[in-house]
Formats: sequence, C-alpha cells, structure tokens
Amino acid sequence: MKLLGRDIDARGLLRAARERLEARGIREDALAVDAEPEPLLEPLSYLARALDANADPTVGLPIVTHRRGLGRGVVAAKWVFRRTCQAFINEALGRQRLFNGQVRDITAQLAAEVIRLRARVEALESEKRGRERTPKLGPPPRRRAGKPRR
Amino acid sequence: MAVHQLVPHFRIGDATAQAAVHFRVLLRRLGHWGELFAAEQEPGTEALVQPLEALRVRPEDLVLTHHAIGSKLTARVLHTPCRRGVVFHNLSPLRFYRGTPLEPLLLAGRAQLSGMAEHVALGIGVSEFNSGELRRAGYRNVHTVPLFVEPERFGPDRADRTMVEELRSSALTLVSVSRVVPHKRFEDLLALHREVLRLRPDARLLVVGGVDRLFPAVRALEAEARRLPGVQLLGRVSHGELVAVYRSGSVFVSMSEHEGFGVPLLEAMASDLPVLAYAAAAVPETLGGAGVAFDEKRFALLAELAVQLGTDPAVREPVLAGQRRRLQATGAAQSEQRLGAALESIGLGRPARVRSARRRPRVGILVQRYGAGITGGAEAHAAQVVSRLLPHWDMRVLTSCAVDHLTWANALPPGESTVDGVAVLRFPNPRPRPMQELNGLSGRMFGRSQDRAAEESWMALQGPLLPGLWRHLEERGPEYDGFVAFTYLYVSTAWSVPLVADRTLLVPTAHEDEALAFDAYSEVFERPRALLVNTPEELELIARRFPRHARARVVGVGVDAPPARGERFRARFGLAGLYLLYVGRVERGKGIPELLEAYGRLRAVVPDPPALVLAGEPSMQVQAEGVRVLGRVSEQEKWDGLAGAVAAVVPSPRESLSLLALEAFAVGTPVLGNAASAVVRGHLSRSGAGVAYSDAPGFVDALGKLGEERTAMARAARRYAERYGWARVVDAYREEMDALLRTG
Repeated sequence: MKLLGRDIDARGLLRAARERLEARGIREDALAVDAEPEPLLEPLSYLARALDANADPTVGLPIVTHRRGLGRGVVAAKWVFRRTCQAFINEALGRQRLFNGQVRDITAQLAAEVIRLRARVEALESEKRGRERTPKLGPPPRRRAGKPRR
Repeated sequence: MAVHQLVPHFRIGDATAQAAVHFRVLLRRLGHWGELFAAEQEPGTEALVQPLEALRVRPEDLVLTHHAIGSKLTARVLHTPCRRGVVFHNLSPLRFYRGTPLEPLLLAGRAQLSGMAEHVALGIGVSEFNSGELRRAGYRNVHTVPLFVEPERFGPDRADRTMVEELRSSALTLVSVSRVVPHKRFEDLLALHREVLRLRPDARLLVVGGVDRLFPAVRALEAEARRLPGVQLLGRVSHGELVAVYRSGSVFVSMSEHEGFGVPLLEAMASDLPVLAYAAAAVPETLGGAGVAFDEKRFALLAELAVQLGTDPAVREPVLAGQRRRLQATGAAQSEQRLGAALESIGLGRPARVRSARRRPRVGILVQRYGAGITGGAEAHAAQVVSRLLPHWDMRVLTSCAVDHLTWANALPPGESTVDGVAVLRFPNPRPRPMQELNGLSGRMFGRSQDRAAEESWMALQGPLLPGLWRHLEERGPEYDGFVAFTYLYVSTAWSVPLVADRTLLVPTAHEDEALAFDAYSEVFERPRALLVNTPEELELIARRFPRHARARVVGVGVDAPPARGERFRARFGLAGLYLLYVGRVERGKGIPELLEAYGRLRAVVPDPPALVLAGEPSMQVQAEGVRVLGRVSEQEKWDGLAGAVAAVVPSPRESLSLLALEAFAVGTPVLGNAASAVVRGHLSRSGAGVAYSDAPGFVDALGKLGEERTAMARAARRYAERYGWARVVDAYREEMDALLRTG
C-alpha cells in the first residue's frame, strides 16, 4: 500500500502503523478493487439497441421501491396488478407496441445508414489527404547548360 | 452573447446545482450574463431557475449543458440553434449498477456524451480526469475548470449551534459526506469503522447524505449500519448542520471508488478536518498533494492511520497546514481564469471597452426604480444625484418598469423615455415578487448559514429580475465610460455590478439587514472600483461584514432646504397645536408600529401631548388617537411641515443615511430618532441636535429632554446641516468618476 500526501512522512507513518498491527497480531490482505474501464458508446448504435429493448410497452420495468416497510406492499400490489391485468394491458397498448416497433425499425435503418455514410466520408477524406501528400510525378527537371567546371 | 446553463435536476445542496450557480458567478465576473434552466427542479427555486421549455437563444449565445447522467437535456441541446458546450461532471461507473434501474440512465449518459462530441464547440471537464474522458469521447476543444468551495462558508461561525451541541463529544469521530449509493462503497466505510472500534471502542462514524434505498444492497447496509455502535446516519442536512458535522469530526474519510471531482474533500479542508481518502479517479487531483490518499484498502492498517491522523498533533497539524495551502491554491479566482480561457477559445472573450472621444463621460445609472412619484430613500437619492450631475455627465438611467416596490409589477412602458431631461431605459421584470413566498423563505433562511445556491435563490426571489438589463450590460456595456449603481440589496444591482465592476461606483445604501449576512453579496461590495457610502456608520458596518470591500469614501448627499413656513403646513392640514412629524413610507419595516406604541405611552402619561403626523404613502392600517395620516405630501409641504414641527421622528431601525433627519436639521428642527439605527445615533451624537430613544418609556423621556433644550438643538441642527452641501457631493462623484476614467 502507498500513501500519498505532501505533508506526511508516508513511509514512516506506514511503518509505524504496520508495527502496531504486528504487535496486535494482525495480518491482512488488501481488498480487491475492480477497475474496469468505462465503455465508450457509439450513440446511434446504442440508441437503436435501447429502443429495441424498450419497444414493447406491454412488458413492465423491474418492480422496485425505495420505500421501507410500505414498499413491500407496493411491490406486491404492482406484481398482482400485472399478473391479473396483463391481458388488458396488452389490449390497451397493442397499437403502441406496433408503432414503437416501427419507430425502432426506422431508427435502426437510419442509424445504420448514417454510420455507413460517416465511414464512407472518412474513407474518402483519408484518400484525398493521401493524394495531397503524394508528390506529383512529372518529367525530371531539365539541367541548365552552364559553364563547364574546371 | 448570453451564456445559459442547463442542468438535469436542480436542487439546493446538490453538487451539479451548486456548480451551475458557481459557474454563473464566474461568468458574471467575466462579463457574461446567462440564465439557468433545468429539466426538473425543486419547488421554490422558480425565480432562480427556469424550466427547460423556457429556453430561448440567439445564434451568438452559448448554451452549456451540465452532464452527469442520461437526461433529456442532450436532445434539447443538440437542436438548440446557437453555440453549445458541455460541462462534464462524470458518470457513476456502470459496474456498480448492472441490473439496477440506474443502468439504462448511465448507459444513455455515456452514449449522449459521445453523441454530443461532434456538435459542441467547447468541452469543459470539472477536473483533468473528466477532461481526459471528454477527449477520449471525441471532444476536441477541451478545457478544465475545477469546481471550488468558498472557504468562509465553512468557518466555525457557520456551524449550526444546535447540531454542534448534539454532536459534542471527545470520542474519535470519522466523517463521511456522500450519498449512500453503491460506488461510494459504504460497506468499506463500515469495515473501517469496525476496525477503528477495536482501537477506540467509543469511536463514532457520522454519515451525511441521502440513502438511496432503490438498491437492495444499500438497504442491507443501512440495516447493518444501524446495528453497529457509533454509526449515525444523518441523511440530508442543511448547510449549517453540514458545517457542524465537519467541525465535530476528527478525520474525514472517503472510500468512494469513483469521484469526478469530490467537492466534500475541499469542504473538509475548509473545515479544518484532515482528509483520508481512497485515491480513486479525480481524488488525487482534487487533493493536490494535501491530505492523505491511499491506494489499497487494508482496513486494519487504515484504522491505525485514521486514529493517528485524528489524535496525534505531530501528524495532524502538518496535514491541516498543507490542506490550507491547497485551498489557497484553488478557488474561484483560479477557476475564473480557466473559464475565461475556455470562453476565449470560442471567441467569447471579455468584450473590449469602446473608448469615446467625448469630453463628458457617458455614465449608466443603475437603480431598481426611477421616475416621477416614485418614493423610497435610495430611489430619491439616485434621482437627486442624477439631477445634480446632469451638467457634468451624459447619463442614462437603467432601471425597471416598476412603480410598486413590493411587487415590481411592470407599470411603466419598457424601452427609452425621458424623465426631467434624463434618458431612461426601462426593462421589464418577467416575474412579480411574491411577498408571501419571500417572507416565508426569509424566515427559514435568516440567521442561519447557507450555501451559495440558497442565497442566490433568495436574491432572485427578492428581484427585480431584469434579464433585458443584463443582456444590455453584456452587449452594450462597453459603450459606457462608467456606471453608478444604487442599493446593494436588489439583483438589479447585485447581479449587474459584477458584469461591469471595473467601471462601477457603488452607492450601497447599506444598513443592518439580515440579508447582509449572505456571502453572495461579497461580489457587490468587493468588486466595484469604489464604494460611495453615506455615513461613517455605514462604512463601519460594511467593513465589519466584508473586510475585503472595495475602496470606500463617505460622500452622503446634499441637503438644500427651500424657504419653508410651518404655518402654511398647519393651515393646509388643519393642525392647531404642536406636532411631531414623520415623513416616509408608512410601513412596518420603517418602525411605525413601535412608534405608535411609544406615542400611545406618551399620550397616557403626558396631559397635552403634541399630535403625531405621518406624511407618506401608507401600506398599513393606522388608527390611533392623536395620530394624523396625511398620505403623500408635496415637496414644499414636506419642508413646511418639517419647519413647523416640534421634532421630526425617525423611527426606522435600519437607515443608511436618514435623509429625513438631515432635512429636518436643514430647517432647524431637532430629531427624535430610533437608537437601534447606528446611523441615526451617529447623526444625533455628532450634531447634538436631537435625542435617541430605545423603547416607549425612552420615547417619552427623549421628548421631555428635547422640549427642555429645543432652542440649543435647533441651532446645532442648522450648523450640522451646513456640512451637507451639494457642491461637495458633486465634486466627490466627479473625482471618483475621473479617477476611474484615468485608470480604466
């Protein structure tokens, strides 16, 4: 373990603390800490996937509560409501489900098209930059006739 | 070129809300005006923050969106037709929230962050750590503008006394300030506390912050914490209570595994509490070498360190000294510089001043109300100064459309007009002042320490809100050579002065007022070029409250009394005998109820007392024997009335000048003044031309003394009034403006 701090004698502090732990007969391992890097998400693909995951309004979100005590009752009531009324939920939201599906499909189509076009633009720009960097080939420069060197 | 800010959710006490308010303070200092907008907001903040739907922009404006979670702001900002920027506060790590209701919002937040990269001109990270993430997400023009705290808000005097008493203990006390959510690692805090208990069985762990019970694991931890000795879950607390907790602690501990900045680390430093923090994400950067950071979680070892840091002066004192140095190296001034550079990178530098070749300076007069028939000490003061300086300056009065000072209702037409030969530009107030709401909020806030967002929210409710004025100052301000601003209290001045501070003379008209305790007013007292105050007592008050105030000069006003005849006043209003006269607004804030009580006492003990005459606009019911309420009187009637009175009465406990006293002196009439006002006391002791009273019996005694010495007091009154000539006042204003122009 390392201690960071401009105003402490880090080594001395750690040594003293370790000595006290040893005197108490304590040995311990460091807690393992995950350090998974956060993902970079391409927004169009993400949104297309998220739309797909949420396109069906007849499927409820997970039932959760932040309340204590009363919260359990609320969770139970929601569960019973879904169990007993799912047929009516389906009936009420049937057209919405169709509409959401179409929105999802057109969004996915457009997103794929935008991604394809972006890649194409990038390729063309890179090709153009490459052409600009390459020197043009032409006839070798003609030598001027000058005085012969002695 | 407004710089508006959007926040997903605005709640006083939340880090993002505080950051947006702090950014707005910096923006004002940089000469930029802008409004705050929120997708959702806490009730009661409507004057400070507008709903997202109200956002209107011009193409040259900049909209900064504060990004900390997936929200509907992104969709809005992508289609806002002006320049755009992102202020990135970072997102909580996904690994702690998989399968929870927060996961989709965090994923959406990540996607939105990348999605905005190509569409914004400016990316601002509140730490270098966050700026790094912005660059990885594809942002090109990235700047770091660190968050900051205002250390004076965490002084021992700001701690809630009740909380301090409740928490008073000699036990070793660990303090944690953060929401109890998975990535803050509350379980590690409990593990550390368990180890500390082995060393110090009476040790305490104070936890400030809401417990997010949406997560089952958090609910289980909460139950576990309640079983563990010494743990106090304090939940959300007020600012004063927060300071009390910091000030009651021995060590501040952070076990969080992700911080985009970590404001509580700086708050702990400002509260003189040593910091022991896990070096996650931006934590080492925020600590900047101060405090103690660690890179592994070994709880027994950390417990040893916590005890030593909390109890051993040889370790604790150098750490505290280093933390104080760190605070000095960070702060508003440093962030202002960074934000200025960020704005310059997109062509939003401070507007350059237009130098005029005119011989007469062009001066803007900032005052909350202006016009014929508008009563009020500061407004009358401004009107008198304007009329006297008219031969010397080209002036334009920048003011509201209000006549009524209680509602600021738009009664006069907006735009250009002329009042007594002076150009006046009026701006409408979009939101009338809700007095009941303001009084309620004042009752909850006064006498208690607050954070900046709460204070600015109160100031916005106080009004008058003049967005048109602020846009005018940002866009046309450079065309003025200088400004004279009246009355610190109202946002028409308090939020205008920082925009043009380098060219502003402030006439604060400050008196003892609970709002003067708000640190937010430091902007208006510390930033202008000079303060032109009315009395030595006012200067003393300002120096006590804001020791770093701008250079100040006692200037006051002039009083030129016209010929006046008391008999004319008696005849006009049918007054037969002796009378005492009050001139001004007849309202509670002016001490009228106390005056009526004192006068009642006088009538009870004196057989033939003088009548009490109240001349001024009444905004309260007055029905008392021997009291005459005349309503508003003309200027000449006022002078006649003062000339004929036994004494003028100044009952207001809060005066910055007391023009009534000076006017009474000018016609040789002594004054009975409320001793609660330092200014009135000062006038009376310097002049010897009146007597101060503190209560009803004192009023009777004071009148008796005045009756005995009236002739000598009348002579003293005239002598004192001779000091207050307009020529001296005009010279002072001109000298200060000339100095400003020379060095500006």
